[in-house]
This record gives sequence, structure tokens and C-alpha cells, in this order.
Amino acid sequence: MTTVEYSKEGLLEIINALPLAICVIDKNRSVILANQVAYKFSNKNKEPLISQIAGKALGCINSDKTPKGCGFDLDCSRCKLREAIAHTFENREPQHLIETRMRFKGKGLRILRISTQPLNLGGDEVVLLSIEDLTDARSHERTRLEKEKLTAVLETAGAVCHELSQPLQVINGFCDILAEKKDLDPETSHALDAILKEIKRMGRLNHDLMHITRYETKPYLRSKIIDIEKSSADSYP
Amino acid sequence: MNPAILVVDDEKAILHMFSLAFSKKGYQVRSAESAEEALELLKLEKIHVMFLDLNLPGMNGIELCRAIKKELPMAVLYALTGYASLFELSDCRDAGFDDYFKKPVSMSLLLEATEAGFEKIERWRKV
Repeated sequence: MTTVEYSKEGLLEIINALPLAICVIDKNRSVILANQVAYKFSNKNKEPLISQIAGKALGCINSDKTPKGCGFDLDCSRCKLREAIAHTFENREPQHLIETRMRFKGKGLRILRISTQPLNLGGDEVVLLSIEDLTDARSHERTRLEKEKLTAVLETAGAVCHELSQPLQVINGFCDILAEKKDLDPETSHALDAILKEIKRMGRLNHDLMHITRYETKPYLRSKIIDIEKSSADSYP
Repeated sequence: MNPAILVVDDEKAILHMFSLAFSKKGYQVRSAESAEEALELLKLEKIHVMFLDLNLPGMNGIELCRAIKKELPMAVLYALTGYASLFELSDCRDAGFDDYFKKPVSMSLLLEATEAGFEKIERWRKV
């Protein structure tokens, strides 16, 4: 139940001091107040934003899809922004931290975290809508995780390279020594050639491991494993 | 007297294999399991062709190369490693290594390098 009654000026002063995009929505779903961050988010000045239906005001691409405007396209039935505002009006209760994806004109797909709060503005019931654009933060987080993953792969690959190269060198060396013997029977000679060929193959694999620069995976049974060849600097994406 | 080479690696199996392969080709093989041991050995005997593993316990192969070059600037030194980034390769050049081999490497290639090393030293001696 909303008990405090705000004036437009008082509320504007408060929301302008906040770092999130904030709009005050009336019962017709129109924006009646918006803070500076909301203007920046919608790429609009004050006049084009105020009095518009929320989705259109913010630049949602679905708002122009039907002549009736925002809220009437098929995709609007799944709009979490619309749902949150409607729910807050109907039940006079806030909606917290709802995550959704919306496509905006000139901005593309954005990941948003929205919250609503019922308010009393000069005797009228309104909804305070706050929008946090998580898109860049999510992108940075994904990049950070990829970097961390690559670092772990590089450290593991380095250790594996070093540990594998030692026994490979010993096997390679002894095979070379044996291969120089004059009295080798054909079967032994063939076996030595096969061992040396496989050592070269493992050497190439070690080389690829040493030159990993990307994190690429490939399916392996029911899971995924790193694709050493594709992840190596010697291959190109 | 047969020419002597020095092999420095912390793995006994590698030292044993190198020793067998090079001695079959007529070289005397001295081996050390650490940089410190190698430097001690070089105080007693002048050796001019050497194979140094880069990843040694204590002083690493690059530091060992620098230390040897200070005492024996004409020595021919080859780096051996199982893993090295481009930066480490650049460090190898800076430290004074004559060449670099990535394990596993064929013994014939190492023998060619050894021969080339001794030929180089011989040429310098005649200058």
C-alpha cells in the first residue's frame, strides 16, 4: 500500500539523482516523468519521451510493428516490461530485478534488469520503473571468463608440453640409436619406423599445445574437449 | 683425444640417452643435472659444445648460458626445451645461445649441430 504522496518536482529531483534509467508511468502506460539517464538510454530529449507509451518512449522495435502501437504486437504478449508495469498497477506491489532482453531502435538487443514500485503522485497512482542496462557488463564478464579460461588452458598446456616432451625425447633418442644398428631384422626395423612416426605425431601435437592462443572446443562423446588444432596459433578461425 | 660435449638436463633418462648416442659417434660426454653442477664441471674442464635444457632446477638454462658465455665466450651453446614461448626464444638469443631445439628432436639433427659447433670453433681457432 502506497502511503507517501510525492509531488512531480520532488520525485524528479530524487530520480535525477539516481544512476539508473527511471520513468514514472501512469495508468495509460504513458511516461509522465523521466530522469536524465532515461533520456540518454532512449536517445531522446524530454519532449519526445514524455506522454509516449513506455515501450515506444524507450525505443522498443515492436512498438511500431502494428498501427495500434506499443503493446499490440504478438511479441508484446511476452513483454516482461509490460507485464511488470501491469502487475504493479493491478496488485499495487513492486516487482524486483526482473531480467529481460529487448531489442531497441539503434541499440539492438539489450539485456535489461527492471524493477517497478507503486507510487502516489499528487493523488494519482503511478508506477516507478527503473531500468538497468546490463548488456555491456555481461559482455565484459563474458570476456573476463573467456580470458580466465584461456589462462587456465595455457598453464595446463605448458605443463603438459613440458612433461610430455621429456619422455618423448628419451623414446625418440633410443629409437634413433636402435635404428642405426646394421643387423636389424625387417620386423624390428618396421616397428622402429612406426614408433618414430608416432613420436613425430606427438611432437606436432605438443607443438600445437604450445601455440594455443584461443579457446575452441569440439564435441567428445557426451561432453566437450578443447580442440587443440583449432585453438593453436598455427590455425586460423 | 675425442672431443667432449656437455649435456645439462635434470632428467637422468635424458642424460643417459644423450650419453649413449653421442659416445657411439665418438664424443666424450659430460653430463650435469643442474646449472650449478655444470659450472663446477666447467671449472675443471674446458668444454666448447654444450646442450642446455632451459628448465633446470635453481639457475635456469638461460642464466646458465649467460654465466658460461662470460667465462667461455667462444663456446657453442644449444638450448633444448619442451616448452618455450616466443619471449623465451628471444631471451635465448639474447643470452647467447647459438641455436634452439624443441624436444623431441632427432639425434641426427643434434649430431649435425654438434659437428657444426666443433667446425665453427675450429675455424675461429685458425683465425
